Amino acid sequence: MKFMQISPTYYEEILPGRSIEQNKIIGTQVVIVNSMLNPNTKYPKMLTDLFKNLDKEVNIEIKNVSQVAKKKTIEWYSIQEDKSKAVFIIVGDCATCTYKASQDVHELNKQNVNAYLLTFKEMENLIIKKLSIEYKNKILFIDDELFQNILKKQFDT
Amino acid sequence: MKSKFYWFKKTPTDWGEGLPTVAPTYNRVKKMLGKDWGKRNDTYGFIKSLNIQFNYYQLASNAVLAGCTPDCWSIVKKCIDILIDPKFNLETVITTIHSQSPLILISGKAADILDIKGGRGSIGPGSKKSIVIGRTVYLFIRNICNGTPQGIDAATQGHLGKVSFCFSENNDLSPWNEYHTRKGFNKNDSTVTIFSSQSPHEVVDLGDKGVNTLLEGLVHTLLNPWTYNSFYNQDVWIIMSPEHAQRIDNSGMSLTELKEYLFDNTVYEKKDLQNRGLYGFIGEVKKDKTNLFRSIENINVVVTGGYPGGYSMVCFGSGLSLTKKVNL
Repeated sequence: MKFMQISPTYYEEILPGRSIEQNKIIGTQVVIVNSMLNPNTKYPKMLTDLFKNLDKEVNIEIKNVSQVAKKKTIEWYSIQEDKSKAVFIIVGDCATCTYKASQDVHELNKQNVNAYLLTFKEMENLIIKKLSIEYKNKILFIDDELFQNILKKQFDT
Repeated sequence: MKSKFYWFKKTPTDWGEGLPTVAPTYNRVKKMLGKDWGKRNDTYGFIKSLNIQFNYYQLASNAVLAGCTPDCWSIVKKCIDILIDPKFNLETVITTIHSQSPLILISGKAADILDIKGGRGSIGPGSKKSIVIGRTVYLFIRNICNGTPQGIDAATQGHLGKVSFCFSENNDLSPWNEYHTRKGFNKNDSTVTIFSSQSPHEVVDLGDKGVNTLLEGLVHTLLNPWTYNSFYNQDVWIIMSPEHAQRIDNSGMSLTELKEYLFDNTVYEKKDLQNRGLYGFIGEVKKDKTNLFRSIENINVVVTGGYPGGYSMVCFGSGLSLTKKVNL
């Protein structure tokens, strides 16, 4: 029987993954991208409060981005943006949103923007492989018991 | 006689949903590809939103695996052409928590050629080739797009239509023109239409009577606020039994008049939507009155199934229906 291939082959799924991320210190400028399907859920506010209670003063900018309505990766991100701003995209009540937001986070990091994906553990399968492999530390689970500590450490690094 | 079916112990379990599969050997894939054999290593499609590229050989392998014979190949290709059309939003259809799957209508002479019957049990168990064409679409999503519950398919429960949901019309008993001619194609053409559908909701209205209770039943079913449609106002499919269609036709109501009636009568009051369905989660109802549909083009009516039968089906879902012509 000759070789049969029924699905695409990706090197990222065959070869051991290698992280290409570099540790970056989060400065005093952060952008929270609220991509929750319901923008009024508690998590964006929880994140804002957490940043406000840090030892250092952080300037917080908030953007509402509908991942459902979005047509292209990082279409909401302006090339004129200050790249020193850390970006936190918060999703999780929508599987499609998590999938599409993970593409945004990968692309932003590739463009040297310090971007994080904040979602629920349940959504881990929906995160694109490239992000999980190349920028593993840029994925934070909101429902992780240690979430707040892990996030704070990003500022202390 | 040696069986051509290989049970799951003989083919990797992750190639299918657990039902028997046909091993995609070199010769079978070659037969499936037919005139496309020379292009076997060429890229068939690139799905940018999923970052997935696949070739003819991989697609044909999945058609063999599902049980398709080479005469299904043209239809299979057209189904995939629709799925990978950016307008179809495949990544959303696969990754959503909402339980939806491709509903596939084969309209025109292709259904006769493939012996896909639109009579009794047209959707389930369906005809042999409708089932395997629908299953090929599923295996494409599963094997090529990683659309499994362990992968990127997040559907809460899903529904059996995910495995196969393909059918044709009952043209012998339908009082109306075939679906593809209503979409502007010629009578001799064949088309494939796909819509991302929930599981069907049955509308029961039995007896030899007029159309009033039937229309009331359809409107009542359509006005469910706990659907995506009440929020996004996109397509709905009404899969009508020949008996129901004939009752409407006998009353003197045309298909266009039926659609206009459904459009005019499916209007929500603000209180019907407030805090219900997606409005209870995402947004506030701003208007006093909201139409379920943006236009009558959102209402897709097809006639299929056996006679007698006072049973029609309403399929909610998300997105729009796409139709493409098949070159047989």
